Amino acid sequence: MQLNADRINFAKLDRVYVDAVFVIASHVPGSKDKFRADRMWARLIATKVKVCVSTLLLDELWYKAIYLFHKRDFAGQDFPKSDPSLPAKYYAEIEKLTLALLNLPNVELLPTPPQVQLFVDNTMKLMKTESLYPRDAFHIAMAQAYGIQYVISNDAHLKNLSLATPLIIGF
Amino acid sequence: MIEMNSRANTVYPIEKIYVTSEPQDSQWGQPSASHYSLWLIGNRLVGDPIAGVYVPSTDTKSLDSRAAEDIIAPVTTLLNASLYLKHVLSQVPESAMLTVDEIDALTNFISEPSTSFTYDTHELYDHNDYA
Repeated sequence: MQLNADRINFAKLDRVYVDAVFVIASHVPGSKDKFRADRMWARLIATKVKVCVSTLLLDELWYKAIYLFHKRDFAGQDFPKSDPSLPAKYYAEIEKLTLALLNLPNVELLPTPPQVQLFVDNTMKLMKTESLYPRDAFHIAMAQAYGIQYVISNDAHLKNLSLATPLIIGF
Repeated sequence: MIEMNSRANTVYPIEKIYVTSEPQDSQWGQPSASHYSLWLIGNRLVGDPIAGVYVPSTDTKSLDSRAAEDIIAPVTTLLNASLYLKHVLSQVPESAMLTVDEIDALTNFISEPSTSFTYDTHELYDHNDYA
């Protein structure tokens, strides 16, 4: 089940985990969800909610941003995902995006959970019990490992989780 | 550029013209004290009162076109970003709780809306496939 952000009392939240698309929607111009994402970022910062991210999020963030920058610059062309020149070509924009994110006052970059074997076991279990692809399973396991009760995401694959926590908040 | 006293001759054999408010330079005039030189540091607009005007004698561009490129365009960008953020914050019930530093960080993070390039975020959820 996905929760409606407008019905959430942000002042009562402690921490949230966010996905890469939520970051991109606010920072990379042109998103159709931009205003809703921007408004939620402002609410999270104003209410001092800790916004947790991971290196896995950065991996997705950079890849999706490179995809978007290429789409912006070469409209109509297929994305050449094997082109090794793309990361360097868009490095300045990737750096700006990353610094802007990590400089937000309430953003915290989480390390891999210290009980790493338990973390991996739980990720594998989620793939099976919740029919999640590996990266989605890692994100949910990360939130669970740190006791984070809410994940902000519009990912359709996370809408029907049967888990007690984390709950998914749409933007 | 060699620094010159503002009361020195405005025409100097080996240097470019330095404009002062002296009567002989009245064709240029002098900006009033309310005029500022503006520039951007990151997303922050800073400025100092204009203390003098230096126009390279070889520059054929008008002051108006120089101002459009160097001052008006970046200020317009900054104003658009500020107006957009103001609009966002007007829709946030908790916005009064934001500090100046938090607003600065949000200004750096949140981009201006774009009309020239648009995308649907849902397509991004399917773009995790590395080569």
